[in-house]
Amino acid sequence: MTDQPPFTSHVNPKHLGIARLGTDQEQQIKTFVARVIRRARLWRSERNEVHMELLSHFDDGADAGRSAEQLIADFGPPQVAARLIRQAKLRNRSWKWQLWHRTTQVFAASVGIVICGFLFLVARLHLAKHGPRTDLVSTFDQATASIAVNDRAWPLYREGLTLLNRKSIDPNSVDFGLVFRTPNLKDPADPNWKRAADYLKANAKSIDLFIQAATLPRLGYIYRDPANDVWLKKRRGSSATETYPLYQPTSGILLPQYQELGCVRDLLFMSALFALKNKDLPRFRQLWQAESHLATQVLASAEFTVVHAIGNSIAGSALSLIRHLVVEHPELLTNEQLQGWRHDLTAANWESKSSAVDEFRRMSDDTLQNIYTAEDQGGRLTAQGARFLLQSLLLSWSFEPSPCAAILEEKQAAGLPQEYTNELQYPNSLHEAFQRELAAVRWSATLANRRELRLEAEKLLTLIEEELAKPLAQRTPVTESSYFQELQRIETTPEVFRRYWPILMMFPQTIADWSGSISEPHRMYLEATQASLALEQYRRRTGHWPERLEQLVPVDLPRVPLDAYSGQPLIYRLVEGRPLLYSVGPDRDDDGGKPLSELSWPVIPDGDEQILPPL
Amino acid sequence: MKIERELMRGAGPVAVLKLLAGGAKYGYELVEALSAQTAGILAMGQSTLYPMLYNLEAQGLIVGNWASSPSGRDRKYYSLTPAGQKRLAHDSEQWQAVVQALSSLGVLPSTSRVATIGGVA
Repeated sequence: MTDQPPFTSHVNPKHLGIARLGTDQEQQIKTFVARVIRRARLWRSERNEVHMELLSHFDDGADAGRSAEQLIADFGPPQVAARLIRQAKLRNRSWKWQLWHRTTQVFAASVGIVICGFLFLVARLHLAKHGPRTDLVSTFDQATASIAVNDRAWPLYREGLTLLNRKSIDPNSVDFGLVFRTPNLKDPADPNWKRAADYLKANAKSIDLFIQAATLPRLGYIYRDPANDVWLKKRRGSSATETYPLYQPTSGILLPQYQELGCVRDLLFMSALFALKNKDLPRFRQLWQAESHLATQVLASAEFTVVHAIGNSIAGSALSLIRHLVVEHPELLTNEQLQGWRHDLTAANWESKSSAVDEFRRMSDDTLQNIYTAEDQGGRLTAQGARFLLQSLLLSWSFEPSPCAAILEEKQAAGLPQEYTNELQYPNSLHEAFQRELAAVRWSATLANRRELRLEAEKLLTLIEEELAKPLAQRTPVTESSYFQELQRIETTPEVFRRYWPILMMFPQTIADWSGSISEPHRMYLEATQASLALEQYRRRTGHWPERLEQLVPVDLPRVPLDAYSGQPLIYRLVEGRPLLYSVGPDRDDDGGKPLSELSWPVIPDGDEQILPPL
Repeated sequence: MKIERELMRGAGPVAVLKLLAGGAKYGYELVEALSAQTAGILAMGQSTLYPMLYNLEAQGLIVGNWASSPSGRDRKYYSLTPAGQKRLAHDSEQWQAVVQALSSLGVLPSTSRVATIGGVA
């Protein structure tokens, strides 16, 4: 079958010398020649010629009296003959064919090398396994689980938040924050005043639950608590286990509860302002205490700078209430009550253990453990780690181009929310899956290993630590700091960026604590509020306001409160017979008490931070 | 005596060119001549001969033409081209130099006793 030549020849076999050898030997030779020709893989014209020549050769051998066995043995192995004939015949082909053939060979070899390299990297990526990992969310939950159930405030806050009807303010989408923004609601004639009052009345049950929750010692939020599901699905569209999947986090942790507690703050604050307008001091005090305790619960609940910032903003809101009380309705306070508020302020436990350095160290360690194998295993990118990076890029960062930008654009074009959903973990098409795999392989070949990334993270942590060790007034502006310049170097130097870009996910360009927007101003507001009460005490004792703050020392205040931004005393003067007290603010210059503009980072807002009268 | 492959690779083409210098020959004739005229020393596997002929043809040193034999069968006869003649002259000089060098080293006893191909020294 297969040994019959698959081609034609003009040689008539009946005239061949090998025919004299008999049918068997003739067939043996023909089969042998056919095998050589077929293996040589030649063009049809070449095959025919070689076929003729080899048969002619065997004819001559037969004519010389050789048997088929002898002739075949003398000829040598057919595979060697076929290979050599092929090589020789290829050399005989035209230069155009030779060029095309070489080009094809080089191209095929290149493609082969690329494919082999790609497959090697794919195998290397998928064979890389994580070592034992610490589940950050579990460590938080375990710490909270040690708090007695009856001491946990979160279940009551959650109940109140779930009951809250957020749409009742205005069906035409008037923003909750807009309605409750204090400056808009100073005047009962403001149209929002009645709407806010109606809203508070409609949600009185929630506010009572918040007041009750604030009496408990600890916040007690458990991240993976299924009891959060109803609330979480309402607020984020996913359950607790979907929001905090094991070993599939983003490079950060979602903290929806604090955003919600910011809403609790606003409701308590507005309720207290309404109580103040109604001159209901007991109710005002109850709401103030609730807000103050909420701040304490939040500040003690987690070591994140954002939690620190939210806790201080709640405490700042409580401080603002006291200034509203003492400026707008001082007649409601007896001297003893005035002293009592001062005592309450001194006793308030608004200290936070949060540190930006600790937080970034914890989060960068967590990111590294989720991206790489253990350092003693080479610290290589894993397939899970690549998904982690992709997920993080898709959710929060736009600096890395292909494939994230393209995927993100597709998601946005499809109208998908740019927030955490399980859908984002899986590709929507084969093309997208390939894009992701390609990105993962590219990253596995180009990214710095775990040790290198850890050393870079430690370098940045040291730079933050050095800067934060300085008093606020002496700190370098973030955009001029070595820390910021190092991040810029990574972002703008292509070869460094290729290796170290995950660092840009771990370290933000703006650090809240750096510009003092958390700790120092909070302490300043605390002392300034003490000074506000002291001013009222001074006025009651002397019958007039002091001309300078120094007049309060030492009877009403132990020392003049300092401006956190300038390191100098807060600026105080009497305007139209009433005290004006302010800080120079982040721009560190005196703008005469002009309120801060609302520019956001990296532009430093112009204006001053007004303390008295309260905004 | 079996000649080393590398040595044969150098000697084979010049031997074939030399045989063709005596007139056009077909494949089997070349096989027989190589075996007979070199006392079997340069007898090469026939599977090697035809590729060698195709290579020499590709280099333009020989040319093959189909012609009828006295028996009436077609055969491909190879003959030397002018380029082949030049190459033969050049290679012959080189081989003579090699032989003389080996003789002067005592590897070969004397140039006069070296076997010749086609009767031409």
